Amino acid sequence: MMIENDGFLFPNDLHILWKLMIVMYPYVTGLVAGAFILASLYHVFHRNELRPIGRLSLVASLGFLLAAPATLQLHLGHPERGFNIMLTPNPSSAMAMFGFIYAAYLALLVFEIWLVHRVDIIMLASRSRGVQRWFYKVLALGVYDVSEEARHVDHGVLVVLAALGIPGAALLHGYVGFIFGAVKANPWWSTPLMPIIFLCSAIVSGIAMVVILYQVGVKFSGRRIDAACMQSLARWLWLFVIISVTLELLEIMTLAYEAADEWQIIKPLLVDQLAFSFIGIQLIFGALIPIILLGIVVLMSRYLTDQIRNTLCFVASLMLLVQVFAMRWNVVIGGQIFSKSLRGFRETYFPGLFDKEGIVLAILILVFPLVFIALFNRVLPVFEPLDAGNAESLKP
Amino acid sequence: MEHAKHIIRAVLLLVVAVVVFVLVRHFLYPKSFGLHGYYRFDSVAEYASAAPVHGDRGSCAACHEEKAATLTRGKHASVSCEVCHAPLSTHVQEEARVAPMPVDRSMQLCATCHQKLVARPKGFPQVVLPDHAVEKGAQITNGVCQECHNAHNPSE
Repeated sequence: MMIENDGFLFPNDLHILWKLMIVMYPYVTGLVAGAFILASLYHVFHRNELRPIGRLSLVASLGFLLAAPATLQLHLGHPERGFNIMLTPNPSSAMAMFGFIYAAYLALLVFEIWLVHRVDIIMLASRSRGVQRWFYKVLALGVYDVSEEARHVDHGVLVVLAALGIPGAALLHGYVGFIFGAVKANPWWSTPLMPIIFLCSAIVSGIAMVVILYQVGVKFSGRRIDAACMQSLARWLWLFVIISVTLELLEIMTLAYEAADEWQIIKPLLVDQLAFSFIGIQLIFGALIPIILLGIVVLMSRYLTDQIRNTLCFVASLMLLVQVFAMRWNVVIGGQIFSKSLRGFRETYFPGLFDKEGIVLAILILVFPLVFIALFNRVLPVFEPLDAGNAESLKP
Repeated sequence: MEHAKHIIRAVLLLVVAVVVFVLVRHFLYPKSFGLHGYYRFDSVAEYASAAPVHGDRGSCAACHEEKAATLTRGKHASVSCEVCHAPLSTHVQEEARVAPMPVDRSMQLCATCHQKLVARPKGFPQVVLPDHAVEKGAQITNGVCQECHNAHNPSE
């Protein structure tokens, strides 16, 4: 492919180095943080109407968390060197902190999922036989206490963990935003608002993803979609998409009003170079339309049948998942197609199908968590808890 | 505490995981890391003792004297042989030819220096390569530039 450029470029600005996998990285970690914060609304803030997705969102969060490092591994290559980030991290590099933030968050998430499913684990240990029974007994760590007191302890620890998890999720994703926000040479990235914008859009994508997983999962398991839960999800989604889009626009309005040097390049970047992915997808298709659809669900709830509510939420969520992806794309790729001269553009980038940072691998990274959730569901239920009943009498 | 036995076990498990990590890190931590800066100092000696991969024009001239002389006379005098050919060690090892030397004849390679770019000095020969090829009535194929230009001495 020939390189065709436009305007004045520094000779070292000719290549896009942060490609599709660096777009995927904030996208996937955003889904992790968003799903976790949604789960916390139930576990910490006791939004009981969200009970049906309390477990699903935690397990989804874990699935995407496990997929997240693949994006960086594919981008950097040499996966055998990946663990060095834990051995010899450079304390002056923000990027080197990823390993530790990731590990701490993984431990917290696994601990929380274990606590949420503990009673089920014990129930399943008591009901199964042979190897399966041993598997569940090991998962229960050999303690089969499902008394009222033990569950009370579980609940207390769960609240503490989830409460720790909120700053944890904010840190995990705020940190990803910080990586971009701290690049002072790039006016399209360098803003203290970046971590907050990333975090809000992360919550949007997390909730949207759970809406879709919940609706699809419920269909597969032959249950009914809980109307109160869907209504609540729509309300939270609406709130966060409004905050998210407002912040995104606020950032651009500030740049436009200040009209400093960098606006000379950011304006054509947004209205010419990124016209389709920014104005078309991020603002109109992905934000304006879902805000209207969710507005209908939230404001006209009593006129809606369950089916219409579910369909509106489903469609809006799909569009929002595209919106957040477009937002990541516009930040990561948009920030690299103009030269540091602020006077020229290089030709835009489109990923190949089978590249190391190509479309097929990106799709596989997004499919992995779905497979993970399906497999997890075979071991422990991600939907309604089994009837705990007289759990004490079932002690294995 | 009677009913918190499972929590204690889980926390113990976490502590064990952290201890294992600290131990693993202790054994895997490169001994010479950080001696003279944020890198493994032993790697300096390792690289110094590694077999050379690249060579300079002198190495090539040992067998290809005429080509080296043509290159030195022309505008590409400052371009290393290995820019268009592969690293020397793919072709010669221990002073013996081991494989034919590959040549990159692609238009992309020429474009690295000669694609029209406002950022380049005015006097530097630069064209919009596909347009230039079409203007001269050439088909855009691998090696199209060499049909008219001698890569060893472009002014010939």
